[in-house]
This record gives sequence, structure tokens and C-alpha cells, in this order.
Amino acid sequence: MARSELLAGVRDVAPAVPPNVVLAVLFGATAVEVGITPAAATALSLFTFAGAAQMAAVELLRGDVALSVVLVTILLINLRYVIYSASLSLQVQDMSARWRAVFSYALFDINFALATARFEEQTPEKADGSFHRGWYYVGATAPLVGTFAGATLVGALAGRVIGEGLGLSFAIPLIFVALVVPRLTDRAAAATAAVAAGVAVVAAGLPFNAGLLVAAACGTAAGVVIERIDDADEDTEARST
Amino acid sequence: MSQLDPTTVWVLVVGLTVGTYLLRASFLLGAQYVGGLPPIAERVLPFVPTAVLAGLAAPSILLVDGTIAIGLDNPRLLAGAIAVVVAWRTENMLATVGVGMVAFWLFRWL
Repeated sequence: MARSELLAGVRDVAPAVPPNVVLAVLFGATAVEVGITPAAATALSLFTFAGAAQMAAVELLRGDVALSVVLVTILLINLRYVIYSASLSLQVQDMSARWRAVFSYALFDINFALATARFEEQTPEKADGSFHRGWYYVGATAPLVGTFAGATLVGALAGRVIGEGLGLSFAIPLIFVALVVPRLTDRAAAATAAVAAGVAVVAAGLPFNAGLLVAAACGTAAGVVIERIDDADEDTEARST
Repeated sequence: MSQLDPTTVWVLVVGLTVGTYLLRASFLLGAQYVGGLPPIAERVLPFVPTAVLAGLAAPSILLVDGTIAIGLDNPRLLAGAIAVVVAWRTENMLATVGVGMVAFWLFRWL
């Protein structure tokens, strides 16, 4: 029976659902402000399930930004999924292409962390069905995506009623702050954020919002360089002691 | 409300859906075509989301009508600074957004 494993996934992901619902409501409400219809907003949540990238799309569409720049920017934010894909693929490479296509749907920070941790513990499948990687993933993913899409629709319909008076759109940069600040755990990450933020502000006037892409490139380069310097310092210290 | 035409919106939906699925499927479905993750990608990729998100947030907080506004008359800057402190101390998304929005409403009203 796949049922017990499905339920294990649901149980593990449950704590992540309420904050996700709040994010989805905010996304829906701000998306209709820039002219995305409730149906399109819900489709984005259901098919892409990438909160930060969806918020970035809204933020960019608020300015008069070329669609190509919007697409490039949000795919850059989603580049981390390539790392998740590479990492998870090592644990499920023996499974069918059909299951691997399922794993490729809605792979996200939370279900990635849950799945890789659980597959580390036990693998492969048990004959009695008490453990199945695929059904665990479905259990850990479906509640997240379902509530996210539903809450997006609620937020979008509510957003049409409340309008722009509340200034809800300011929640989007605040969400980015909440995502970035906890990642600033070393000098390299801090340099990345500081350089990207500084360049983005200075280059904000560039056409097509290309300033953001320049800022992202400069910030990333700064992070890579500082990390290299710090790694080299550590090596020297290790050798001298 | 701004006027986005429906075609633009649906191009966005389809583009983001297909693009994101391809990124997620890159190794899960395409490992035999793409080989391993090159070491340079492993070094660079972890920094990209931080850079993009910081680059998105900063102008929304620091710029008013396209010019840098550092002063007590910019409610976004004051609320943003408070949100940074809350995010740093709590690492909690809802607390950060909640406190930041209340601060924004307060400073805007003052």
C-alpha cells in the first residue's frame, strides 16, 4: 500500500502549509494589481509553484519591463532548482522515467529538503509498500501546491475588492528581505547581497530594467571572488598551524 | 490597475511553466544528456538567488520615483530597515512581512 507513505509525506510537510498560504494570498492580491487575471495567477501557482520567482514577476511587471527581461530574471531565481535536480537525481536514478517526471514537478525548497533527508535514511522501496520514494514525494508536495494554488485564487479575488489603497505591494520586497537576510551567514553571501543591492539602485535607470541583470551578475561575481579569497586564507591557516 | 494585455500574461505563464519545469527536470530526466554538474556551476549557482532577490528588493525600498531617498520621509526605507532587523533576529518569514507591513502603514500615516 502506497497510502502509509503518502500520509507520511503529508504529515512531514504540514507545518510548512500555513506560511505558504499567507504567501500565496499576498501573491494573488498583488498579481491582480499589475493586471494578471485571477485565472493566470492561479495557473502560475499550480504549474510553476515558485513563490519568489512569481513575486519577482509581479514586481517587474509593475515597472514597464520587457517580457524577455521578466522571463530571464525569474528563471535566474529558479536556477537553484538545477542544484536540487542534480542532488535528488542521485537518489532516484534507479526509478522509472515516469516517476522522475513526477519528481520534476513542483520540486521546491521544502519538499526537496524533506525528500532528500528521507531517502537518505531508507532506500530502496520495501516489498510491503511501507516505503516508497515516489508516494512520499507526492504526499509531501500535493498539500503544498494545492493550498498554494487555492490561496492564490482567494488572494486574487480579494485583491480585486480591496484594490491598491493598502499598499500591499510593499509586502513583495519584504518577502525578499525575509528570504535574503537569513542566507547572509558568511562574508561571501554578505558581499553578494550588498553589491547586488548597490548596483541595482545605481543602475535602476537602465532601459528594460537591465540594471537588475547587471546587479545580479556583479553580486554573484563578488560572492564567488570573496569565497575564493576566504577559502585560500583558510588553506594558508591550516597549513601554518 | 495597469493594462497588461492577456497575451502577455499567458506568454508569461507558459514561459515560466516550461522554463521552470526544464530546470527541475534537467538532471532528474536528462542526467544522461547533460552529464554531471560542472564544478564552476556548483560554485556560482548558490549565489545567484541571493543576488537577484537583493537586487530586486533594494530599489523598491530605497528609490522613490526613480531617485534615491534616504531620509525619514521615506516610509519604505524605515519599514525596510525594521524588516531587516526582524529577519536577522527571527529568520521568520511571516514575522518579517507582518512587522514590516505594520511599520510601513504606521510611517506612511505619520
